[in-house]
This record gives sequence, structure tokens and C-alpha cells, in this order.
Amino acid sequence: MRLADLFRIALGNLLRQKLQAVLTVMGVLVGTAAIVLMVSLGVGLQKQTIELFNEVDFLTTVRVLPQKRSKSLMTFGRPLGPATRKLDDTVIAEIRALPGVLTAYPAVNVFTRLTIERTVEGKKKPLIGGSVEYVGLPQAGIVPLYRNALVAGGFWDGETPAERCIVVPADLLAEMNLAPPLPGKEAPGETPAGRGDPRWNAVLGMEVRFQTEVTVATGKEPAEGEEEAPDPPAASDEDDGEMEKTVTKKVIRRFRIVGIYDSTDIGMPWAPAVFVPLEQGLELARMRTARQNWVEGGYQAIVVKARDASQTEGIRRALDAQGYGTLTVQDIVQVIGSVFDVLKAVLGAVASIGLFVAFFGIANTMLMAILERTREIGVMKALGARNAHVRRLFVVEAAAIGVLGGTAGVVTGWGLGAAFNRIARGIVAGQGGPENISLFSVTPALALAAAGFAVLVAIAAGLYPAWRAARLHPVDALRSL
Amino acid sequence: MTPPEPIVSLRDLTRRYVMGNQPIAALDGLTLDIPAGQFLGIVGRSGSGKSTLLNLLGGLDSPTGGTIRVGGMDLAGAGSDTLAQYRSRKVGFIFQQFNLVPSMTALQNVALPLVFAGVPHAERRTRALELLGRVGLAARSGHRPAELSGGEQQRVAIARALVNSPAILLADEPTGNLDSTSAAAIADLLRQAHRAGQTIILVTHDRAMAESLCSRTVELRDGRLIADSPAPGSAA
Repeated sequence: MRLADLFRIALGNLLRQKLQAVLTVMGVLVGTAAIVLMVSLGVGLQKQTIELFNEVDFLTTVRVLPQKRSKSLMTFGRPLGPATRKLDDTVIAEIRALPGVLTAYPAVNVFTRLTIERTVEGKKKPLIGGSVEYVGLPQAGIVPLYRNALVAGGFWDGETPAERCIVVPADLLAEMNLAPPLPGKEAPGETPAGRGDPRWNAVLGMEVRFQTEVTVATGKEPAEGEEEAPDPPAASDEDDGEMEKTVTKKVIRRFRIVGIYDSTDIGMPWAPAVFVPLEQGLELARMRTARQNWVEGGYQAIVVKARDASQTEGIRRALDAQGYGTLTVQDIVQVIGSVFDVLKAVLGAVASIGLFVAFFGIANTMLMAILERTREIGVMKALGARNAHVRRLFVVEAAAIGVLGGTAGVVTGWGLGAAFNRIARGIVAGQGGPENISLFSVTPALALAAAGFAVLVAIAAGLYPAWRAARLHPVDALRSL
Repeated sequence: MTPPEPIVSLRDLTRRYVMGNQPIAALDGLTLDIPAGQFLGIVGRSGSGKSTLLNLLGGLDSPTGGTIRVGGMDLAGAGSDTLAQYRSRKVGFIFQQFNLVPSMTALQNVALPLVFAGVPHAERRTRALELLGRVGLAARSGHRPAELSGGEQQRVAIARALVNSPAILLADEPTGNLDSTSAAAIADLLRQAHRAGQTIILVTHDRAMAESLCSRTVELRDGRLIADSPAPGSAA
């Protein structure tokens, strides 16, 4: 029996009971559409999330750590063993000499809320804004990307400016009602301020207050420039009488705002960077991380900037080979990817219930078809059909249900996703969010996999009926009504 | 001069069933030779074993004892694929109920045995049209069984039975469901085929019909041969 005949007869058989076929196909359609919709939601969310990291600033950065770090899902970033490499200025000089490296400098990672002090009637009043990450930059770290993002003021001059300086994100200032919004982010009735707008100048010169607590041994004088907080010192460590007495003190540092920049394409959207001179940033980091265990005299981490994104991986490999721990945005993207893989698998598994139900629908339809066509099966056998021919006819008929339902299901799922995307875009854009977001994203691989799965389920559902049909005894089959 | 080897050769052919706990011998040691080109009638009452014999001759069933050779093929103990191949190449069936596939046109029905034999489409079409012409239904090739009368359906069935040039044509009460006019037309077609050299084995309970059509008639009762006329060896 020829393949073309097999398909022609099987399809002809399927179309004999049109309503039955359509209803069975509908079952597969619904199941497949559910899978496509659910998994495409996972894919869409994954893409949206990974999109956040798809910025030049991230893509050109390698973070060097004193020991290897875990890159698996559950323990991401956790040190693997004690710090073995001391990260100091010698290491930084070596890294700067590596091919493809634009610059390298010690990392400052201090997360806090941005507090701006305004002088109202001669008194300083703190105004607390959103979360920021203090990033310390040497002159060489002030990459063109950062300079281009400036909307007012500038960066400081020299590695160690005489006073504490800071460059802050424009969006946060707008949130704190200290400055007008950037173009495209204004509420109705507001006038946005572009680069060089004089309205920014009111903010330049304001002071940012950084406050933290440090634990110092009693008797030891606070370092120069430290201020006693107005409140009395907090509780001291009294766990053990043998221990040296320590006191927790509040420490305040004030930075003058010298520049304002547009953080749209730089840093994490939920914690944009505030830039300070490297040495001033390191001071904040040391106060924050005094208790942490790191190689004595070394930095916690080194930020390495590649000349362009294509060189990042090469730099990382060179540093890995030297025994350093490295983290790049690729690692984060990968671990996020694995989180979303789990999410997609769960969504897909839940949605597969639909196809599971369709499985029984197909099996039922095929078994009914055998009952209806028992005599015909006998006739076909009398006319020379082998058992395998009969079996294949039924398997192909079941597979055709899967192909029709799977294809229609992919199209339906894709269409529903596109419709939901349109609705979501309307809502998000109405709230000033990014345009063109895709919550549901149907990739060719997903479409093929979903349709293929539908066909597999259909074939599986057809196997038993086909086997039953094939082993019908011709005499009995011919005798049936 | 030795007589040519018979196209059908049955030796001590036995088919036993178990119904409940009761063993039943539907065929009980039947020995029979059918020369090529013979038009053999098998008569007998219900339960005489004639349908069982037809099923065995058609390769639809297997004997429990004895040997059965048709066209040089040994059917006793053959597997299901061998039997399917045998049915595809050596046998043409005509049923009392016509048994056309209702979803297929007359042409597709006639060509169906060639589909299972793996014959290419163009050749199938030519051959099926030729056979439909022979039974006088060339003009109805695109019609489905429901659009044909009973007599026409049976003529399509005859065309289908002959399309693979079978060694033996098996007809099971071919006129049982037809009015006398249609029955006469079917009988004519069978006669024509016989004249063209086709070996035909006709099973019927209608002794008169068998005797008017066939060159030889055998009668079965309780699975045994009880009459054979004219006797083997006499002129066919």
C-alpha cells in the first residue's frame, strides 16, 4: 500500500463523520491552544525580564570576585569555598592590561534609598526617595555611555575631588517632585524637561545624605569627619563579658549633586545607579561591609569594563582561567532563564491537562469508528489489506486529528496571545510604561513543539483502537452488521 | 496425458470450532480437487459447512486439520500476512451484501484491491475503468454505492472481484439480495467470466441456480461431501 493512498483513505475516513471529527479536533485545538497560551506567557515574561539586562552597560561588564561563585539556580552567587585571591591594586593593574579591557576598578555596591536634604527656613530637611545603588567610579570608569546620558551638570574632575560629589538619576528627582519629568514620561499637563533645560539647575548643588551605622570598639575615636548622630548610641554588644566592648554609631556623609543623568538604559530599573568618585564610594562600602569576610586588604570585587560586548566573554574566560570568580550578565540571564524554564514547564504541564482530556476524546472517536466500520474492515481484509494496512489507516486517521487540532490550536493560541498583548499594551502605555511589551510570545520552536505534542498525543490515542481494528478476525468482521 | 494440476486441492480439510464447551466440526475431512476454469457450485443447507469452506478457500480463516492448496500456495498454517497477500493476488470475493465501501465511488471501490497490492494510481484507474466497462457501469464510475441500485452495486462488486485477475472467484449467494431481473444480469456476468476462463466457486443454498449456472455441483452436509455431479473426471 502506497503512502499517498494511506493518507488519502485515512483522511477520507476521518471526514465521513464530519461533526464527530470536528468535535474531536476541537478537543485537541483547545488543549493545544491552552499549552501555546500558557507557555507563551512564560516565554514572554522571560523575554521581558531578560530584556532588562540587554543593555550595553551590563553586557560590557565582568564582575571579578576573590573566589568562584555558584551559578546554579538555588545558590546563585554564593561563594564556593573561602576567598583565595586577594583583589588589590596590583590585580586591577594586571586586569587592565588584558586584551579587550577598557578599564577595571574596585566595585562599590551599596544599596540604600536616595535621601536629599533641602534647606527649608534655615533647617535641613531630608526627603527620602526611591532605592539606588551607590556606584564608585574612577575617571576611567566614566564611560562615554554615562557622559551621553547626562541631562544636566557633569561628572567630577580628578580621581579625588576636594568635596563629595554625586550624579543622580533624573527619574528619581521627578518622583520626588524636585525636577520636571524627562520627555516621554510626563503626566498629562506636565511639561517635560530635555537635556540642558534650566529647570534642572535648581537641583544641582543640593545635597544627598548617606547614613549608615558602624560598629566601633569603645575608646577608639571615630574617624575624621564622622558625625555623631543626634540620637544616643544604640545597644552595644553584650553577649560576652570577655569580648571587647563595641558601640554602634550612626555615620552621615553628604554629597553635593553635580550631575543629573537619564537612567533609562543604565543599571537596574528598580535600583538605578548614583555615581560617586571611587574613593568616596569605597569608604561607604567599607562602612557597610566591615563585618564581611574578605581577603584582608583586598577589595570585595572588581568591575571590569570591556571595550565592547563581544569581548566580555573572552575577558571572563581569561579571568576564570586565572582562578578568579567571575559573574557576568550572561550568568544572571542564564539563571533567570532556568527559573523561567521551570515556570514554562509548570505552565505547560498544567495546560497539558487539556490534551490529556483530548486523548480520551480521540480514543473514543476511533473506537466508535471501528464499531461503525467493522464490516468495512472485514471487506478491506478480504480485498487483501494486511493487518499493518488496517493499523496504519487508523493511526494516520488519529494523527490527522492531531495535525488538524494541533495546527488550529497553535493558531488559536497565538491569536489569543496577540489579542491579550494588544490589551496589555493599551493598559501599560496608558500608565506611562514601555510600549510594545509582549506578555505572550509564541516562538517557532514553541509552535512546532505544541503542534508536535498534539500529534503525538493523537497518535498515542489511536494506537490501541488501531491495534484492535487490525486484529479483528476477517470472518467475524464480515459477519457484523 | 496427465491431467493438469487442479487449481484448488483440498485433502482431509477440517475446521473445528468450540462453541461453549461443545466442539463442532464445521468441516470434517473434506477432500476435493477443483480444476482450473471450472464453475463449481457448492450447495447445502445452513450449517452444512459451505460458508466455512468458502472462508477457508478465501484465506479468511485457517483450517484446524488437513491441507488446502490454491494456485500453488499452501494455506494451512499460513500467517496473517501470507493470507493477506494470498487474498490480494489469488482471490476475488463477491458477497451477498455487496459490501462496497460506502464512502468511495464505484471506481474507487473497484480499484481498492489494487491499492492494497501497491499498484500505482494511473494503472489502477485504467484497470478499474476497464472492469467497470465490462460490467456495463463505465458511466457510473463516479457514483457512490448509495446512488446505485442493488444490481448495480453487485456489478461493481464483480468488477472489484475481478480487478486483480484472481486465480479463483468466490461468490457467496451473489443474487440472494436481488430481484429476479438483477439476479439474471449477475448470473450472466458470472457466465461471461467463466467463458473467459475464470475459475468460479459459487456458494448457494439454491440448488436450481447452481445446476443452471455451474459445470459441477457438490453438496455438503454436516461438513462432509455427500454429492458430486457430474462425477470428477467426466466432461466439465
